[in-house]
Amino acid sequence: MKEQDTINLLRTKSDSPELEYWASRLRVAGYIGVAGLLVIGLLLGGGYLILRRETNSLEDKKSVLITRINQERTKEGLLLSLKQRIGLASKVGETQRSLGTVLDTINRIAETDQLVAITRDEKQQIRIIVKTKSVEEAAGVIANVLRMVAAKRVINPQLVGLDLGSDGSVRVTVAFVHSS
Amino acid sequence: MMVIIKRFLKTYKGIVISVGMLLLTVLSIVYGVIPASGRIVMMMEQRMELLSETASLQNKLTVLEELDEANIRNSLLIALSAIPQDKSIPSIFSTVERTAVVSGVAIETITIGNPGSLATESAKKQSSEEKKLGSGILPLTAVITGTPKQIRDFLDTIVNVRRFLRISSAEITFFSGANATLRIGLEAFWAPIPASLGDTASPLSQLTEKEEALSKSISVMPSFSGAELGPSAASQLPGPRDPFAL
Repeated sequence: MKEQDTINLLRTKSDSPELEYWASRLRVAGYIGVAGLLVIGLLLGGGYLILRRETNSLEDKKSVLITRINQERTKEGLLLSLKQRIGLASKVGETQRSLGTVLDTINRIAETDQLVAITRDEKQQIRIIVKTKSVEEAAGVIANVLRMVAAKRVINPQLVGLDLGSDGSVRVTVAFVHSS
Repeated sequence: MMVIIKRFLKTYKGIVISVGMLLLTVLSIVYGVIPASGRIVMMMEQRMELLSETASLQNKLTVLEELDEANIRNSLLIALSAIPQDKSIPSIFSTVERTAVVSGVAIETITIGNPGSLATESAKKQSSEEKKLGSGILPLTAVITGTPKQIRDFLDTIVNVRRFLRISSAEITFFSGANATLRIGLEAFWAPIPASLGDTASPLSQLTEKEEALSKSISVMPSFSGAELGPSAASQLPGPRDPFAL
């Protein structure tokens, strides 16, 4: 039997309990650190693989969708053109200035046979020239204008001119803005 | 020296290994885990973006696949008869003339342009108005005679026909004998069809209810321009290859 022919005189363990305490703590911390690192590594690796696969799948899907949409370019062009045209029509419609309601209001101010001229300029200012047979009729016209103001159909009325004819006729010029 | 190191390692082997493991952990976290986490966060953001893009593309594809091309083409032709892609002066003339016939008035003159205004000022105003509307504006003037009722009918009709015309100014002069003269300033509109479609990925929605209603209201307006649904107009619409080829 072979005898042990060496004697290990070196100390392999420390005699200091404090050092032994910290050594064990460090050992535990080391194991926990490595174990934690392994777990985190696995999680990150797994997460990366899943995300990579999903991203690739979504990119493929996007590519297919783009190809299919490109096949429908004609329809897209037609729809966009139609939307553009309808948008323009809507804007034009909003600025459309019908004279129908203006003429209705003017008919409440003066009779047709009293009217000489009606003007509407680009700034939507209305000017009417009315010729009445008498001052009383002219007063009636002005009263009608004021009635239209009270009814909020006319804004900012101005008596622009009042001419008395030798035959007693009166030429009244009134300007106002029609309330739309 | 080596003996001292060996002695040290033998004595403190446990501690050295533990410290080594901790050091490896810290270095792995700093140079591995943190950059990898950043990369994964970036990939998650990219995924969200892709999800949003594919959803938008899917919506767009659904809208396009549900569209009836013939129906849309017809609606566009009708809309083009209201606001053509060029000035289309003959359609303006025919609209005014036929409106006059329907109303019973007589046309004395029709003039394209507005010779009564200062050219510079009216050009400036027209340009800013055109920019505001997003369409070209062609002014015209017409002198019309008829009874007050006929003139009233003309004024009511001219703003309700499919070739859109806007009254910019009007002057009615009444004569004895129940006749009157109307000098009317009108504006006609036109706009070219867009030259490009934009990006494939740009979103697209169906016509809204308001747009559908407006399209329908245009289609029921009487058309006096006479050029809206002819073969020549239809041939100018997008074909299968180039959406905006004329």
